[in-house]
Amino acid sequence: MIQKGETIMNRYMRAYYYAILGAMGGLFGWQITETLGFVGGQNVYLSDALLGGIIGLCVGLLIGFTEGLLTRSAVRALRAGLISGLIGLAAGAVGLPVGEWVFQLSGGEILGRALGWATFGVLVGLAEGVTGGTQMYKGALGGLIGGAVGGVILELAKSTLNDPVLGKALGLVLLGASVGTFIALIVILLSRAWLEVKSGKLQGTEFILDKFMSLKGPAAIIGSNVLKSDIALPDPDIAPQHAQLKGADTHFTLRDMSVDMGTFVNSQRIEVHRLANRQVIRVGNTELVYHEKR
Amino acid sequence: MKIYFKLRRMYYTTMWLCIAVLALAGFLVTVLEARAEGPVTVQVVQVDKARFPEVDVYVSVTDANGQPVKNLTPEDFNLAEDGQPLSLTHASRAGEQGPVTAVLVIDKSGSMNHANKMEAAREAAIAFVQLMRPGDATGVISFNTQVTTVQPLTEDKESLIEAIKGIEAVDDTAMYDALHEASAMLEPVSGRKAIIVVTDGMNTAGQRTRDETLTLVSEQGVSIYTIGLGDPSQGTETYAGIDEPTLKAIAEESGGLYTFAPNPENLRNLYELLSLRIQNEYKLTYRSPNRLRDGTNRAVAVAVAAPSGSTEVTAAYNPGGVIPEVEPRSTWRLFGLIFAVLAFLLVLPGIVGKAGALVSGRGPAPRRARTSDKGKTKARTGKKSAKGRIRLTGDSRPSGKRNR
Repeated sequence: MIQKGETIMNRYMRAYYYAILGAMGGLFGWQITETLGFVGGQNVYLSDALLGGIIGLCVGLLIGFTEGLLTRSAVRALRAGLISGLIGLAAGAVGLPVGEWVFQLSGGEILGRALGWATFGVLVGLAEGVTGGTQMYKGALGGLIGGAVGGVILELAKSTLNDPVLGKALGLVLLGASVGTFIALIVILLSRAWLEVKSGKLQGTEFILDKFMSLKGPAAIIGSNVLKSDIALPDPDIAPQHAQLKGADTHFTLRDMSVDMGTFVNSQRIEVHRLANRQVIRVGNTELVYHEKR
Repeated sequence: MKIYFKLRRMYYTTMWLCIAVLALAGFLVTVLEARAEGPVTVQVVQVDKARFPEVDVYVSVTDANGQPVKNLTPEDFNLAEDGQPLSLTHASRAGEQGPVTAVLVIDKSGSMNHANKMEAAREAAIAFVQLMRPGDATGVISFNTQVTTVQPLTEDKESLIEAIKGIEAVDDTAMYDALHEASAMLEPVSGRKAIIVVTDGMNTAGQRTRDETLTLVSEQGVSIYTIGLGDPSQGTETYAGIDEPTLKAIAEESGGLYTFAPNPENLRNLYELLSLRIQNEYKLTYRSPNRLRDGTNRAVAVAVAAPSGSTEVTAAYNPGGVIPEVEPRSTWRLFGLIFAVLAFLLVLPGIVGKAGALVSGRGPAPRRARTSDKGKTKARTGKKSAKGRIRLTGDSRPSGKRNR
C-alpha cells in the first residue's frame, strides 16, 4: 500500500514540474512578445505566426527541459529542450495562425479562445511526444486539453482582471501551466508500462516505456551513458549500456548486456527475463520497479 | 401714366406671387413624395475588417418596394462602435461603394427540369451578368450531388454567359457544400462580396451540415442572398420542397436577403433587383476607437436619418486576436515577480523534502527524502559518500550479488 501511495505521489510531482516549467515557458513567451511589441500589426496572421513561434519555442523548450530535469541529466535536458523548443517554434508559428482562424470562425469569446489555443496545444503536445517517452498522440491529446483549458483561463483572466497587461501575463502563464500539466497527466494516465527508480539519485523518477513497447519498435537501453542509453542512470556501477528492454507488444523482455556486473530481477541474476508487473530490477546500485497496466 | 405704373406693379406682384406659389408647390410635392416613400429598411450587409483598425461597413437602404434609396448623403448616417459615436473617415454615395464580387450559386438538381425552372435560372443569371459594371467580378457555381465550379471569378461577361448556358440539371441537391465552395472562392477577394443562391429543393446530399454552414456564413463577412424557387405546376403559392427556415436563417446570419420566387418568370426580375440593390449600397469607413486586436466582439450601430424618420440597426464583428493585444508598457517588474514565484515553486518540493528529512533527524538526504523514509529496500540504509554516491555495506547488498 505504501508503495502504491508513493507511486501516486511521484506521478503527481511529475505533473507539478511540467506545470511550473510550462508556466515559465508562457512567462518567457509573454515577456519576449511584449518587449518586441507587435501591437497593431496590419496582418493579424503574420503577427500570430511570430508570437506563436516565440511562445511555442519557450513552452516547448521549458517542457523539454522538464524530462531532463527529472532524470537529472543536463545533456538530456538540453537535447530534449532544444528539440522540443524547435518543434514548438514551428508548432506555434503554424498553430497560432490556425488558432486565430478557428478563434474568428467560432465567433471569438470564450469558446473561440478555447478552440484557438487547443489548436496551438495539439501541435506543442506533438512536439513533446517526439522527445518524451510516450507516443505522439498522447502528447497531442494532452496539449489539446491543456490548450482548451488554458484558453478558457486566459479569457477569464483577461475579463475579470481590470488590468489588461496583468490579465494577459497571468493568462499566458496559466496557459503554459495548463498545457504542461495536461501533457504530463495524459502521459501518466494513459501509460501502459513504466520503470520507477527506487534508489539512487533519481529516486522517485519514472521512465515511461510506452514508446518501446511495440515488437517492431526500438528497444530501450538501460545504462549510465546519457547519449547511448534511453534510460540513463547516474550510477558508477552501471555499464554505459547495461541492459536492454525489448517490447513484445504486451510485455517487456529484459536482457543483460553488461559483461560481468549483472542484471537482477527480484534479486535473481538473469540473462533474459520476461518482466511481470511490480518486479524489481537491479542494475549496479540502482533499483527499478517495473509497472505494467493492462 | 399712373395707371401704367399701377399695372406694372400689379404685374410684378402677380409674377412674384406665382413664383412663390410654384416654389411652395414644388416644395410640398418633394416633401409629400418623400413621405410617400414610406419607411426605409436599413441593413448592414457586410462589415469588412481586413484593414483593421480601419473598418468598412456596407449599408443597404431600401424603400417599401425593395428599391434602393439612392439620395442619402454622408450626413444622414451616424455610426457608433460599442456605444461610442464615430466620425466617418469616408462615406461613399450610393453606387460608388467600389467593385462588387458576387458568386452565383445555381441549383441544377433533377427537379429543376420541371416547369422550365432551369431555363429561367440560366436566363436570370445571364441578366445579372449583363448588369455588371466595369470592375465587378462574378463567379458561377452549380450544384446537384456534387459542386461544380462553372466559372471562376472573372470580369469577362462573355465567358460567364457561355459558362452559364452550359449548366444542365440532373441528380440530388448538395447546397451546403456549394455554399462552402462559394465562400472559399470569395475568401481571397477584398471589398464587397455577395453570394446569390437559387434552389428549388432541400439539401439532400453532400458532406456539410446546416449548422456548419450557418457558422461559416455568420463569420465570413459575405452576404448571402437566398432565393427559393417555386413550382407553378404545383400551384404558384406552394412552398413545397423548399427548406424555407434554413434559407431565411442563412440570409439573416450573413446580412443577405431571402426571397421566394413563386414562378420561374419572376426570377429574372429578382436577379435584376438584387443587382441594383447591391450596386447601390453605401460604404461607410471609420477608424475603430479601440484599435487593439483584443479578441472582443464589437457592436456597430448604424443610424440612418431618412426623410421618413431615423432607423437604427446593429451588426457585430471581431477584429481577431487569439493573443489579446494590450497597450505597450514596461513589464519587466511584473515579469520578475512572476518569475520569482515560479522559481520558488520549482524548488519548493526540494525544500519540503529536506525539511522533512531534518525533522525526522536523518540529515540531508537525496531528493524526495520524505517518501524515502518509508522505503522498503535495504539499499537506502547505506551512507552517502562525499561524492553523493551511495556506498553499500556488505550486509545491505541484496543476496543476488553475493550468490555470484
